[in-house]
Amino acid sequence: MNDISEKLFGKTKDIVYHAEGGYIPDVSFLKCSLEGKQSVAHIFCVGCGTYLEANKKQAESLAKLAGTEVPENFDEYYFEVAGCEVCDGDRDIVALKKK
Amino acid sequence: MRMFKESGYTGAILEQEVFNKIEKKKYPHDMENYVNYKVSIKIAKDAQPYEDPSDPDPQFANDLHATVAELLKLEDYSSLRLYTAVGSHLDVYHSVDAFFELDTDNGIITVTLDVTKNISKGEEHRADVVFQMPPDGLDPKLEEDKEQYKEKIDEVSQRVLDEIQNILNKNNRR
Repeated sequence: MNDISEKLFGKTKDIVYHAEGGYIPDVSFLKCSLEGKQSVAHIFCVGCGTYLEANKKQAESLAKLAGTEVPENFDEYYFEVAGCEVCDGDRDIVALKKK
Repeated sequence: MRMFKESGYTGAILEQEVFNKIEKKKYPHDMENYVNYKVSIKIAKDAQPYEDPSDPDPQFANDLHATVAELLKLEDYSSLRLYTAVGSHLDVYHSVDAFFELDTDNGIITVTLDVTKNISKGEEHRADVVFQMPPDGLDPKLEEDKEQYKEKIDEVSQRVLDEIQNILNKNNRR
């Protein structure tokens, strides 16, 4: 219904946050249950401070970029990225971190 | 209804409010990560196409906002805001087309909206108020649509009001 929805409410602008960098995650957020049905891992963007979630395919890709194996489960791990979905940081800079 | 300050977001998300915005760079669709509800609300609010969410530009949104404000007997319309979520993460991941925010004594109440062609049993709807519209919409300037348009505004406004009252009742019981 996006055509009619857009007519009724207008369409959001495409925006992206500047990846200022230097953000530190709140570990309690990373220990929360994942919200997305397909999500397997938490992601934290140190570029803009946003918490995101990765599905299995994305987690495999992130692990590859981090130069590591995919953990058997992500209870103790999360990905830290320099850029993400919502900012202009470098999404290829990835690290697998312990919570 | 008394005005309250907008409650902040927890964690580092708060810091984004001071960031500058630039044009969005595109990435492959399958590499777009899930964005949770709270963050999606924040991004949608930052991406509004019109300046004042208490006076939205599209006619339907404006009429809906004004009618809900009247039902709530608001003296200050700015305590009720209507944001579009169309095309945002909130739309993509959470099936929300728009949302109201109302300042109350106990903080901000959010009521989400979703427009659909038909409300079928199998279809998953996650918004608080899901309503139907004809595929071609309703034009209040056309004589044949005028009455139905008004009825639709009244119907959706009443449902938003009911949802607000449900939330207020729940909050009062806590």
